[in-house]
Amino acid sequence: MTPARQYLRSLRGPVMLTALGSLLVADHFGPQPIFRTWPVLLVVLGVMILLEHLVKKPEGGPQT
Amino acid sequence: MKRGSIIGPVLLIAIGLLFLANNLRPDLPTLRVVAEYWPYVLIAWGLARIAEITWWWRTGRPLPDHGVSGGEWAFIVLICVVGSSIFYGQRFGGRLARVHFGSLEMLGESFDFSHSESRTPAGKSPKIVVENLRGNARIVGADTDLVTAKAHTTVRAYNQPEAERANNQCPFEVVRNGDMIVVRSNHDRLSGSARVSTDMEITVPKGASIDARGRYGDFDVHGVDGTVTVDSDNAGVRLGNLGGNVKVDTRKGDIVRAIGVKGSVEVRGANGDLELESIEGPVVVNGSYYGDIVLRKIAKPARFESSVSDMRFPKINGHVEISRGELRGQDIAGPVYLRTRSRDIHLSDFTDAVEIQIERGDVDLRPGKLPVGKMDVHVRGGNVVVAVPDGAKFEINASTDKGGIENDLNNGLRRETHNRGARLAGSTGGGGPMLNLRTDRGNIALRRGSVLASQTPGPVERQ
Amino acid sequence: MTTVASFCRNCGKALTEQEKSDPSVVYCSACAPAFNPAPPPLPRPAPGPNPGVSPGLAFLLGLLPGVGAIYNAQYLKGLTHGLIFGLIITMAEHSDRGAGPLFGMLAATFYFYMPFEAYHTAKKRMLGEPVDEFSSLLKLQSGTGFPAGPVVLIGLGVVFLLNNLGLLRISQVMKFWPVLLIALGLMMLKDRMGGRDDAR
Repeated sequence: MTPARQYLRSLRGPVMLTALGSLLVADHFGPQPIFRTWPVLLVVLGVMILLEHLVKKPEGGPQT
Repeated sequence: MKRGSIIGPVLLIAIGLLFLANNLRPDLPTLRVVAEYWPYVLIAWGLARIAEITWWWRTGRPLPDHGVSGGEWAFIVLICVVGSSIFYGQRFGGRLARVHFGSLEMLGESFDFSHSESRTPAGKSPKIVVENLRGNARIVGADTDLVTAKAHTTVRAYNQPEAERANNQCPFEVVRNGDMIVVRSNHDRLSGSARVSTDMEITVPKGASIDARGRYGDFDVHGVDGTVTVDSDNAGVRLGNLGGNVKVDTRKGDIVRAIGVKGSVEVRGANGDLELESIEGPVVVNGSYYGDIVLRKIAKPARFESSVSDMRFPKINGHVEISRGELRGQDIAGPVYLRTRSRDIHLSDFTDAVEIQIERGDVDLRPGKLPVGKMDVHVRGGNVVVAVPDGAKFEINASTDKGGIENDLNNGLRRETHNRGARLAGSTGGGGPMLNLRTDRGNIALRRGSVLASQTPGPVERQ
Repeated sequence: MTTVASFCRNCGKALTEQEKSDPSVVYCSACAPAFNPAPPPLPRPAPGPNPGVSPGLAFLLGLLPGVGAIYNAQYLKGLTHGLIFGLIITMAEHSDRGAGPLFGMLAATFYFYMPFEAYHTAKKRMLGEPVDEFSSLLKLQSGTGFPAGPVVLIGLGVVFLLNNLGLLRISQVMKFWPVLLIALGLMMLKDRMGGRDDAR
């Protein structure tokens, strides 16, 4: 895997974690409760995976 | 060798320090702060890890397969579960905290203190203020001119002396203040890390009016003829058999229920369920509700307002049920006005006019009684079905921009199609009130209804 | 064409001729030990045919959510299956009119997926083929280069979010379910017409 792709791959967990924290903050302190906002996590996960796919492959060599 | 993340261990140490601090110096509100702000920890952790991984990437170090390891996710789930239960446990005061924590040593034990019954002469129609920040209060009107109050306080603390100190800081008192009688638990005088919650039972003269205030805990008021006001951050409110006007303002709560009120009812807030039954005065509901709203037997106009809805019912003889996707009404006297964003509407057995504006949803109207009243229905996306009894007299102007029109009635009205829509116009039975039915996207159907519409309308047909 | 590295990626030192000739070497001998990327994860070494494993039993146990995978010693997968199933049921309970039946169908589908998957995995173990932790009946990676997975995720997330915020009702979206069948068919068509891709 290219470094860029691996970078995005590793970033997945922490980004999801940050999103989860934000949704919980929104639940505790304001706008919408978490049982309504949880689909945001699906969207974030999808976006992260999509970004990994969109990173260009460099030439040559097998790709994971 | 790949180096592991330092964030996990740092976090563990921080949590250990927090709990240690809480044990060694219980006067600091550490646990309260943790309960409020723990989600920020997750955000900070996520951002720190993103920064760490980015730094590794920039400096060419090998990147981990997973930014958050399986073990770390398990830890996160644990934080969420414990954090949420502490948060809601603290907010919810005595009862829930007891259930959640039992006698876990790190979070203290619960101690109960009973207060002796107090009796205060009050006259026939006193004004009574009940202040109870945390805990449930039950107020009942009776044939007496005394205010009789009984209470018991539950304190969560680390030890008996601390619990006693907290209990003494918050005496339960019934005092006369001018022409008011104030019943209060004095939780605002509390200092320290103990948690206090008081449950009270108050018997008042029947003619009393009640002004109840709290932060978390239920209020039950029954059998009182004066005005009843309830104001709380988070309360379940149950009212019954009241002779005066009612005003409820709760920022959050699981239910507001009022059955048998002779005066008006005004409800404000963001709540779970709302139930109003047998109300003789006008009703105004303002706020957002996660659960269901049920209005039954409301003799005067009822009005429901939220950020996206405005609904008015002059008189509800039967019931109106509003849930998140639907509104069902039966046996209503019009003119009914409904404006909302996204809901299916089923109205049956109503008289007089109906005006409905929705963006999304199906509308099913079965007046059930002759004469049919005026109808003004505009739906952006959804079907419209109107079932009129035989012999109904009306003019009609029905149009859909994208869809079809069905006419089951034998009244010779002609339907024209154009583009992808259709139109039906004309008058029947010699003319009558105008039925203006319009949908931008959907079908319209004119059906035969029965005169005695006491059945629940069937499911709306979709095409 | 593979590019040939001439300088150590970490310290910048020039590589020796021998190091240069090997296209997989990008670090100098001093730095290499620290930076050798972990070898690609080998599939678990095949343990050899294992007659003690009963695919039939796996199927039966698979009727209890998560237990099928546990029988196959895929503990994390068992937990995940259980959680997923519980989550679907919970969402079916708590959602409004439109989404409820959708979740119900999803729950039923997943419920029957689990025993079949356990059976399949157990069979492989019985024959001695290697299986990894999250084995699956479905082709989870996209062979055709179109990232179906993330798109589905994003789509689902958006649909549910809009439903929860009251902006869009799932019952409206549900009308379009045949599109899924069509899309599936198209993807399969593309696979088979474009020549077999390397299987995952």
